[in-house]
Amino acid sequence: MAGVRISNLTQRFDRREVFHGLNFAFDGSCLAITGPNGSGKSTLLRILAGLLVPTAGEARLLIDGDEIERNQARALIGLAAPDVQLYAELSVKENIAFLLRARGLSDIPSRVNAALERVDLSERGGDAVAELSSGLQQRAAIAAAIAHEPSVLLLDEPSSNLDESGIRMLHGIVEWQRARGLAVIATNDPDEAALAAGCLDLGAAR
Amino acid sequence: MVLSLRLGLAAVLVIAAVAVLTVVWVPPADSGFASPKWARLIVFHVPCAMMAVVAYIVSTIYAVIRLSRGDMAADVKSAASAALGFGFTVLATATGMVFAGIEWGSAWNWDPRETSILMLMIVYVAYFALRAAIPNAASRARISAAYNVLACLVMPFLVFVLPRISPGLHPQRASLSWEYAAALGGAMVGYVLLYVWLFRVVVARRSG
Amino acid sequence: MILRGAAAVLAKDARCEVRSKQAITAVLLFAVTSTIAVSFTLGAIGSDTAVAAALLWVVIYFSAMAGLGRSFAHEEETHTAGLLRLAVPAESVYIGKLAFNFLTLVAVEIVAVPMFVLLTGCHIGRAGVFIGLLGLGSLALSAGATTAAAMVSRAAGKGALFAGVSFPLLAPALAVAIAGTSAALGPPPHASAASDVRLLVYYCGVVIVASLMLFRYVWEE
Repeated sequence: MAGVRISNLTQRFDRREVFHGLNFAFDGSCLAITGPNGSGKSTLLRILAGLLVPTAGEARLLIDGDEIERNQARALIGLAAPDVQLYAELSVKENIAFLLRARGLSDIPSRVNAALERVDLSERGGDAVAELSSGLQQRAAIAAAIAHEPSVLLLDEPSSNLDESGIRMLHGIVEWQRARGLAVIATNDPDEAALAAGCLDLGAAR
Repeated sequence: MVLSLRLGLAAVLVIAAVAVLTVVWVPPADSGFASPKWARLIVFHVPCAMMAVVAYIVSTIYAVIRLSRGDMAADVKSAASAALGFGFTVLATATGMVFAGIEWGSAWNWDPRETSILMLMIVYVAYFALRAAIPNAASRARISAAYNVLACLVMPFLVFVLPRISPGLHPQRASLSWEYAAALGGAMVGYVLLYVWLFRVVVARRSG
Repeated sequence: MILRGAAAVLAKDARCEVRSKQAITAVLLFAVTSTIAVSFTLGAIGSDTAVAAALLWVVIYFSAMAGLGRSFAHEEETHTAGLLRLAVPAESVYIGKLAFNFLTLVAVEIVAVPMFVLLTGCHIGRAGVFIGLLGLGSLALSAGATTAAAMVSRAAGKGALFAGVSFPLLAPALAVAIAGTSAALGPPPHASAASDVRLLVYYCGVVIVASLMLFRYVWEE
């Protein structure tokens, strides 16, 4: 039983207030977060991922009915976002292997290969990230986010830069994630939002 | 606000009284000073240096509170105490340099105490430079508090290290007449009052 | 678990460095040019052990300032810091980066120190003490510089700020290293460097433990 719980969430960056007293509850396996640019979609994902401590209130992820604690975030959450980039000088495989090693996981080569296969990037896995097109870099970022098979996958504008086959691949990933846990997608794309069972519209919530 | 004003008045009065008494009543130091008349400068110099260290320690305590409780009010207090401490440090260095010029012939001698106060000044400057360079308020509070604490932990090493480099001109023990001790104590009281008053004023202004 | 993460960070940084050669170029260039500048202008100052020790450490210190500040700033600028924050515990990041900075400094010293000794005509009286002090002093510089680099990584004007912020933290270690090295140079009799070594060990202990405890506050958002 997966879900999202947001209670009284306030986020301020110096003078700019992104949310104020936001409340929201969702139960299900796929949530879309929509809203115009600047409404705080990326910020909310960062808070959910545990990268940012909110000014006030909290936003929690639920897996099997339990809230994910901050110290579990590393193992249970994966994030693919425009401001989380892979190391350009390393190859895709080296990037993913590093992340798996840092998380203390074993059996790294097979996990890396499995992740690359899921995003259809196996042939280019040995290329440096800097050499890839933006579409392939996006696939690489998604592979890095799913390699440790997280219970929660957070995706920020995932279909940007993806071609048709990339978008099909993405839908497959979301389905795969829904079956295993929770997917949260921040997007302005109605097709992406349609994948989800629920929707939090930050534009309307203001 | 009225209490604050009274406190400020009390501080100024005490310091002024000590100043007058020092000139008029405290006799010039008998032995061990090159210029006994000017030796009375230490009545203002020593408490100033002590307050510089006290203010820094207070600043560090608030920094620890800020880190453990995430309390932004503690950050305001930490920065305020640091600002005042910096003021005391500059005053202590200035009075010290005047005294050193008269007593030991040159304004700066790399005596361990001189070097320590210079280091403290550099810590303050680095602390404020760090704060000025971080635009986000929460990050600024956290990072400058961490720096404050780390610098505080490192400073004691200087106490061990510096005397081995240079023997030092500051006397280890000074035998002073009781009038001196009284004047020093009075000046210390005055400075403490001044610090508390200014601290309250600065914190109130920055919190409001 | 923490050490495994640190090892992963170290390996990753080493791999990136081998391909980009950013840090080591900056540090090596500075060390070599300043060594040459010192010996070019002062000649064979090796006989004055105090001056030689001081200049050697000044070269090492400023080389560290030239190259060790980038370790975190680069991650922030290329947006890879988020990846680190997601996957690696804060303490592992600190230890990994510390190890990388230390090894960079040591690699540079392997080139620069023999060069310095040769060009200034230093006589190393006690080689074991000399090398030990180099190692401990470099660890001390790396420990403080790594924390300072993390602190300025999200600030504006990083370069000058890094050097300014590091100096008060590193000055005690620098002073002790110079004193100890001075005792290791020149012909016998040599003063004892035991207390210098002890002080450096305490310093490294205090700075590393304190940095481990404070790093979370510096690193996380």
